[in-house]
Amino acid sequence: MKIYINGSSSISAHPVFEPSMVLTEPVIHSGDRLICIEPVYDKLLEPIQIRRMSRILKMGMTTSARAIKQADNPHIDAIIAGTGFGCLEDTTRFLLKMIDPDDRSMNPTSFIQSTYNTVSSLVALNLKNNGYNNTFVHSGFSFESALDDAILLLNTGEAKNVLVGGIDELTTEVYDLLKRLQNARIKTTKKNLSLQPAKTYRFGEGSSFFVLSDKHNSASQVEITNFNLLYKPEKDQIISNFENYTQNDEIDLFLLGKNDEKMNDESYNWISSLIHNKKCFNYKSLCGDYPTALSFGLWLATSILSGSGNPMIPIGKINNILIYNCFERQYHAFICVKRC
Amino acid sequence: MNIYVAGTGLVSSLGIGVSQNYDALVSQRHGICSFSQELDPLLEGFPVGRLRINNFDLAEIASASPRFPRTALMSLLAANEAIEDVGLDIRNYRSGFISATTVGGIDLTEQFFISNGKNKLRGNLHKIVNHECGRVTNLVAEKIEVNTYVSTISTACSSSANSIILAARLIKEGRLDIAVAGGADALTAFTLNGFNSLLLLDTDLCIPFDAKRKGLNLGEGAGYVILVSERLVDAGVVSPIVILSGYSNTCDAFHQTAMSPEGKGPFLSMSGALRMAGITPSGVNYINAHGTATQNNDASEGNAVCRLFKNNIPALSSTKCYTGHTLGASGGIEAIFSILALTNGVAFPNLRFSEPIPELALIPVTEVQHFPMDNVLTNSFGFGGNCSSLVFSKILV
Repeated sequence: MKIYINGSSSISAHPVFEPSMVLTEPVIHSGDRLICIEPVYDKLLEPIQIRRMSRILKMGMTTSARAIKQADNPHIDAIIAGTGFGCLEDTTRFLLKMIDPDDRSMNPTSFIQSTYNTVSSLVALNLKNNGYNNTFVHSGFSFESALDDAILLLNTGEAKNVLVGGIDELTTEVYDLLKRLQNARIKTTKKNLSLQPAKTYRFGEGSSFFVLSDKHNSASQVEITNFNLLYKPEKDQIISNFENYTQNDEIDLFLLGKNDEKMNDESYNWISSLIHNKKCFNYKSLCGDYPTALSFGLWLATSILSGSGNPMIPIGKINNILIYNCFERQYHAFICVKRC
Repeated sequence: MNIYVAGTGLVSSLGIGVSQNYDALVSQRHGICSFSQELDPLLEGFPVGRLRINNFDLAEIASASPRFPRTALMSLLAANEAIEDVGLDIRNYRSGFISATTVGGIDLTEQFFISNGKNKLRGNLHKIVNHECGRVTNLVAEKIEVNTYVSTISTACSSSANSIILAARLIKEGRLDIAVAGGADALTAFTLNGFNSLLLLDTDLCIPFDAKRKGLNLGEGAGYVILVSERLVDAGVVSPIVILSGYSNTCDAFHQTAMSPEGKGPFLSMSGALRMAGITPSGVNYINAHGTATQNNDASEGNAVCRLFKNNIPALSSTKCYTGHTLGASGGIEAIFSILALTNGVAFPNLRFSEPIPELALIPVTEVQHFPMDNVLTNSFGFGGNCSSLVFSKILV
């Protein structure tokens, strides 16, 4: 079974949402936070949505709508989202009100919008779509799970067009907490330098949605030729998996999810050591590290191959890309995409 | 290819373990006997279905750290029971753990925020490291030692029905031999305040499908089934209990927190599950309804049931009058209640019911009824319009 990406859209730390905006080079962000550069929502959402929705909802709604439009508006049989952190802005807002003894005026809207499945259900609501609807919330493996589910639906013929995406937002409160957690980790591991994050570590966020289809058509951007997830594999398994792809396909660019958090370095190093005379790029240097960052990696690969032009990585003609991501040494994902 | 259920494990306010829960159901003993102020001193007067065992004791029973979020402790207890029930070393097979939760570790996050006030530099960081839903799943996955697939689903109150569906699909696709699937949710101040802000909580014991219903009671718990492939059953490695013969996942797509009056999503999910099971509505012997006792859910679900089953509505009840609404765990817990109904030939009564909803000809079971069953249907519907239905069927010999 062949799987095609017929539509894709992303909001990230670089203004990539509008295809007309061709970047000559990545936007430079100061500090260790890569916050999304959001489009002007006036023409994309209703005024009431712009007022009420948190950033994750706005980003999820607009990127999913754009991906569907790019795919020439097919009927969507299934909507699947992945989010590691969920709707942090609304969760935090409700939580802080709840513990405020002076003002416990809790707004139901925050509670409603704090639910992890808010994006996938809002998209369904907007499309009046009664089909399959699912949300995966498995930390750094949420988008991987969503994509896996989407491909399973296509492979079994349960669906012909699936909308699938990865979304996470970084709020100031949560950034502060993640920073504290990172510092605590540095402190407790000061004797073990290998566990410390590198100086180049950036926290990130983003939303990337795709329309996956079992049919090639004029909208098709890339073909997903291989997709494989490994849970707690041995080193040999990781390597043989990798070699399978590199033997069968002429991979000419490797996108690695290396996040400069040393915990995962080992497996990235195994992979890197097998790449000879080929281009290799860490996509998290562009989008930052967040649980569903692989969705940005897939968007980047799609964008490079579909010729919509992505000069953020200065490269020549590319036909096949392998994306590899590893989450906390346990979860490994390989995606091969091909120009079509 | 048939997907079999070969084990069950559950925790609810009715007790720890399937048999304690079954005893409570057939003796019509509910577990809604705590009050909301135990969770939030500032929120008084709402009954909740709370398991009256604190985290330290739960941790001891589960042989886990008392630092685990409560959701993880209940999840581990139920998953362990299910695995023991199947009596198989799951490490020898391609095994998966697909869990579901809507709160994850937020019970501890609440404590973190309360202890640090608004000072971001204070607060014990151990309280927030397991906030994410996936962390809770991973804590349990490490203990039960599955080897092939682990993930977490969160689709509000239909969450664990969806993890059971995913497990079945992964087994059908040949990726897993055996899966632990279901979900867990602890009671938290966050969800209590959330449902209270939506004015959906009853100050008395809830009465699903009653004309005078005033809202839901929240509950907590965990429920997991062990799904196995036909291959394992044929090889005689496991003794199956029932078949998961049908399932369907749909979206009502009507409103973020309300179901369509006609119950479009529920109608589609129930009819989809029956279609897959290869049975007509008349083949269903018992429906374990979602029946939260909110105005909206029961009217919408009731409408969908009446449209689908017409003049031939099977025995129906909501067991939320026993456990309260256990949110992300309800699909798993009620799947097991449905399996118990099927294997024991018993329909559990809908407690406290007295007056049917005027516009619906829907009268739930009010006394324990014994009769042989071939197929049972269970519903799980959630915020965002997420609707899922499962059909369990007797194994024909």
